[in-house]
Amino acid sequence: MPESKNATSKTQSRAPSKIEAGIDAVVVGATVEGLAAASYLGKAGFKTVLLEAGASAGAAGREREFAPGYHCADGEHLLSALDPELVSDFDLYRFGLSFSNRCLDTVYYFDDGAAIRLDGEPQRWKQSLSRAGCDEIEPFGDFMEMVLETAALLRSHLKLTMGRDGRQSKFMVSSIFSNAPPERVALIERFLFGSTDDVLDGVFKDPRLQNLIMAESSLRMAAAPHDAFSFLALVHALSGEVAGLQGARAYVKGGIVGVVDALRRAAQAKKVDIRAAASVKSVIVEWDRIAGVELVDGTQIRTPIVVNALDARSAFVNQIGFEKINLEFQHVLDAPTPKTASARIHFALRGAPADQSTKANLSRRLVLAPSRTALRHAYHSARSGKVSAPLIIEAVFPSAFDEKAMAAKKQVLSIFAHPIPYDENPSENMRAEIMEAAIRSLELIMPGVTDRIEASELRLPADIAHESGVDPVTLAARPLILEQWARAQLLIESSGIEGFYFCGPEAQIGVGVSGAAGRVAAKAAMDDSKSRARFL
Amino acid sequence: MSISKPFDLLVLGENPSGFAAAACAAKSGARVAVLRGAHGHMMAEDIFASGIPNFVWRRLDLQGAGITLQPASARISLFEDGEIIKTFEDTIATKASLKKANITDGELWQDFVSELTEHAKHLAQINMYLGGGHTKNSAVFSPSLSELRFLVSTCAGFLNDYFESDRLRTHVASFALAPFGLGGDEPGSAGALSSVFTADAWPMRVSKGGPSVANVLERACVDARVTFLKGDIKRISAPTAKMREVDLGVDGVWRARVIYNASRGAGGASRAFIPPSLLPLDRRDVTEAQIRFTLSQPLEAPGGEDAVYFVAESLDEIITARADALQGRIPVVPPFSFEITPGGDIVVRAPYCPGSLRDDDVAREWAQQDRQKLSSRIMKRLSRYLDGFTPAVKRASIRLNKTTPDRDTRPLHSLDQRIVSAPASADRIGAAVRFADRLVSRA
Amino acid sequence: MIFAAEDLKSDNPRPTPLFSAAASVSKANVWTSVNGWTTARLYTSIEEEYEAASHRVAVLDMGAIARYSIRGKDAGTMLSRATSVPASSLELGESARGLILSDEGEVIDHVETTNLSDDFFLMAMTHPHARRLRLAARGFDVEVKDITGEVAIIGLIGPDWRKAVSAIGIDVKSDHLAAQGRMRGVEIVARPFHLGRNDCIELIFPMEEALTIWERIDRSSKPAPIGLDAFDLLRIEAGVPRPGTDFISAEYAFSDAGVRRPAELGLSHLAPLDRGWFNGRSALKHPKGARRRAVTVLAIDADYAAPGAAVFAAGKPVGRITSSAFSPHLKRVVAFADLAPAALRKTLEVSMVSVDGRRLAASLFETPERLLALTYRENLDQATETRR
Repeated sequence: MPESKNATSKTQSRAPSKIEAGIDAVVVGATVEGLAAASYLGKAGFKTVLLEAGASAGAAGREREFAPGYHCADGEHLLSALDPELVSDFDLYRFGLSFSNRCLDTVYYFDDGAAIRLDGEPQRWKQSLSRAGCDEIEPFGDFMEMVLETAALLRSHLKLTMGRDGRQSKFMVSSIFSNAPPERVALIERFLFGSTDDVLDGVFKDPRLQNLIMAESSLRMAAAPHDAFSFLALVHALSGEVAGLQGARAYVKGGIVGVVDALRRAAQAKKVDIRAAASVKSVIVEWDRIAGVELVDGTQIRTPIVVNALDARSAFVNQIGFEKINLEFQHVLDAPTPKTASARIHFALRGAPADQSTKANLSRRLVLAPSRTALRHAYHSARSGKVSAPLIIEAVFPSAFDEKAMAAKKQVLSIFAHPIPYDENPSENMRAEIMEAAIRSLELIMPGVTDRIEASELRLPADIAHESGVDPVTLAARPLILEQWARAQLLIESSGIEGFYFCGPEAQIGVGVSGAAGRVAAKAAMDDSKSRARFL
Repeated sequence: MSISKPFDLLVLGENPSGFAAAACAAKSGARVAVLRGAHGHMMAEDIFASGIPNFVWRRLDLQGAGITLQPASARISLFEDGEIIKTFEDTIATKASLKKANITDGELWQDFVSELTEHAKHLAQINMYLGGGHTKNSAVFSPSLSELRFLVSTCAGFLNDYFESDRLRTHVASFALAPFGLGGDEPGSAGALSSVFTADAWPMRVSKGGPSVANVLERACVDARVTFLKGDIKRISAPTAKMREVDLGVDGVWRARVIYNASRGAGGASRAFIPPSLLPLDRRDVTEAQIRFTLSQPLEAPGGEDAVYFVAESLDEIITARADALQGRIPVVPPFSFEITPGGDIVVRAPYCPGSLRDDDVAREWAQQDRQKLSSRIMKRLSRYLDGFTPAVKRASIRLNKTTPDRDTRPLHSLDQRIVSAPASADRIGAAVRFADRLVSRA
Repeated sequence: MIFAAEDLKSDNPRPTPLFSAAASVSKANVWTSVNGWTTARLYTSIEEEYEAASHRVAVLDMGAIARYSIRGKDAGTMLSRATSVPASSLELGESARGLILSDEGEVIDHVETTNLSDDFFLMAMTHPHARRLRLAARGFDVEVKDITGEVAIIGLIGPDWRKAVSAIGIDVKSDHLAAQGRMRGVEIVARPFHLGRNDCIELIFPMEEALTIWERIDRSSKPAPIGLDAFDLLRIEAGVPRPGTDFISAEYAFSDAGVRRPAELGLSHLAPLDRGWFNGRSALKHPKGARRRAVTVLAIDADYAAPGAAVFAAGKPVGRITSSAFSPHLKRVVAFADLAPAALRKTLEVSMVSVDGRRLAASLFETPERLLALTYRENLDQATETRR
């Protein structure tokens, strides 16, 4: 008899050190999505265990002291798309979620030293432009209004759904168009498929306004403004809602840690058993059904439902194995690695830099929007493994929301610099080049800032991946929105394994923390379990 | 100056696809004009043209036009070390040829073509659907998720997933992407692959001594009473919502309901899966140069005279060339294709040329010395692939595919469904005619 | 094991290793291209060839059927995943038929797998599937090789095949286990198989020996060569629907129309749900929607075949004929038809031109494949009852 036994029989042949039964659902990975999924399952009365490989739940988002007296956390610093359903279903405010600022103003800086401030509330962009003395207020305002409206219209089409009819979901282009006002159809078509360059062609002439939009649509995305389908990134970003305001960006008290903490408390309140330092070795699949998980220490937890919040490669290839997943589904697992990424840099600054446009008010989002040519050059460089300046910079002062640091006259500045080459093993040389390019770009926002830097910390995707054990690819620049959506949809609905639900980073669409994928996974698990109960 | 009765369709682009689109539209009763450039630059599409699809042949009754088309014998990639990759219209012959060249990926060729043929059907459906047709069209277009992933994916990603041989990937990219001016690492470029494998996309060659495709189609325009205008566009404006006005300076002012750029744009117009009607006119980011080398004596081609040749050493080289062009530089190592005319001339197409050149972020037009620079780079490169090429060259003439007005002369709001470009397709004539049909019926 | 449909564009088919041997015995000289290989449609006449296959032995060049060799430690596991054949539980020399299914449980192709040793399997399929097999091999220790055209394959069809095989000195003991033997130092695999009620064997050997072995068989037992047309008749009588003709292969299918699940083709027994994991199984376990179509064999009271003819049930159109052939044995036309499932219980008629202009009567034809499917269904029902 040829050796043909699958992972199941292998694990069964060796006596597990401990078998735990009576668990309704296991959630792997205490990320925002994992915590959200566990909370929903707990709320529905499922006996749920949340397994976290790290020392404590949500450790990846913990705050660290990166320089003596200066604290910062990795992960997102601003929220733009926290799932509103998640927030209201658990009333996360009750569990300590609170906003330091619900809508940050953004100040855009340009290569030529000019700056434009846009109000945090998208409805007031026109007014803020008129204050800036811009020539093309009307066309810009009208254009952004159309983008916001389209974003709201597309929201329901680009969210995750679990089709219960079992057939693969489809991208309902025709239904988008038939639901849109007829005069808007051509525009939506353009927004969906066009490059940012195409969309901006002829809308307004002011290069600064064009640069501003290009920076917003390309920030942290793998697609350059001249790439097809790239404009949709901006549309999608503006479809998000946080604190009830579409297109706004909010700072949560405590940053990302604040979100994780609130969710952890919610999960605990719903009686989720959160276990830290519990690393999953494999997911047990019997035939094509989930039967449980096996931990690295040999413990088996028998359960009919596994929700996985780890990256797709760990979830499907490492923990389940090729022999159990659908053949064509392999295509979903392979995705070309983006050649670009963003660098996260924390700076410890002596005192606050002030200029005309920020007016020493640091509770703002600062964005450097390079020129069309500079950005094109930056993307080409990054794609061929080189760094060029200026880059797009998104900067916030976490210390501005934390009174202690303010009092001590110390500032923490946290930036994303984009695009840089994506490299799994960046050399020291490359790190130095990235840092230099970022500081050179930062100088265009805050002239003289270099002299104030006391300490700095460069966090590349490889660093974060190395420490937290996630697949670094998930930390590279985000692919096109349409591609992300299609892949996320395929990942959650077509693995062919009953009882397995995915809500890892690949199931998130766009940039930022959401929790929607966790909610969708948990709801699907609950629905399936209900229909199975009916069947029996 | 008095303004005559407006045209239903004004075709820009003095080439086979423009003529075919104009003739077919006129035959179906529309008032059509074709604008010839003031200097009358006919592009060298008359050596190898894409085939004339049967439906165009039928509509224009070309059986009496005395034209015979022979399919090109093969697509051949030459490499500096002497390796040759040959693919044929017939997938089975291709599989055998790749096997002979020791490329094990050849086994996958049939699957590759079958999969792309299916994608091409989707793309055709999408192109019919997008671009304004959908408001009235009841056809439901909704790609499946995996289809959507393909449509937005990159050609390089798709090829890497399929083939291990970098040379085979380079070969496919050379003939599939170059006509569109794509590099292969940009989103949506995978779509360009699929149209290359449709039935009418295989390059055809006109028999020696016979009329060229362009001439035959031009005559069909005359027979169909298409008006020919001459001049260079100074300005396009929109006097009314349903009318566009083209100012040709001293050559008059003309009005048309739809202005249709049928020229084979190498820039934005050819990005697959972009609604073609939404690309106002060629963006001219990337353009194509054609160089005709007149030789003192005929040269022996490594794979026969009736093949189409491609020169590019690697996929990276193509990507770099496109990046150079996008940034306004003439590629240092320009990839190109070449063909041998019945008269023994060599015609080179270099598809990765900047629409306008840039020095220190300032755009400028092509100057004589830029043309010479490109021409000498190509000549130097070609001499490494064709023995005895340089000494045999008697004369080189270069042309840039530029038929569109500059950015500044266009109407401000580019979301103009009345000024449109031909959709991207390797079946140029067929795609141009189908799209013109729709424009006329819509107007 | 069946042949693919003729290529629509058969520009320059390659000769199979046995081409010159086949050409030398062809009287009718009617050739076509299958998967790019030159294949004879007819050698003498369909009646003659059919008669030989039914009562004596007929010889067939099977070079146009796609063949792969799978080697490596994980060969069995990989095959059990990519196809519905339980490759890893096959005995040494044993063969099994199965299906290749898409993730959605739709049929891509037929497959027949033979276990030649723990880490060496042979596969035969109607169409080549190089890409799919390469995908299936990802993450496994296997080497997949396309051997179509590198080996010569002689099929012997009919009750007398043993005599023919003994001529080349191979002792085939079992009628279901493959035997390996040597002739003039060349390795030959003799693999028995069945096509409906016909017992058959195929001889697989290096292409260099193609002519010698063909000649030796020809000299010893004078088998009648059989071409595609007669073989297709055997196929329809056996009840094996052909991808591309009777249904659309789910590989790269543009739309769902024409794509069929095993149950719709009457082939559930080739992809049984109790066979462990294989690609498409989970989708089959939870069939979406009711059975959409039934692809089944009809016997039509007609004298000549009519592909594409419409089928009527109680006066209403319910489907169409997808492939057909005149059976000299039944004196009827046997035909695959793609029907609405409800029509199976009604009186069927086929619209073909008859002398008096009426539609022709048709009835369900019990094929061996259908019997297998019914047995499987009964077993399944029994199993469910026992469980209850």
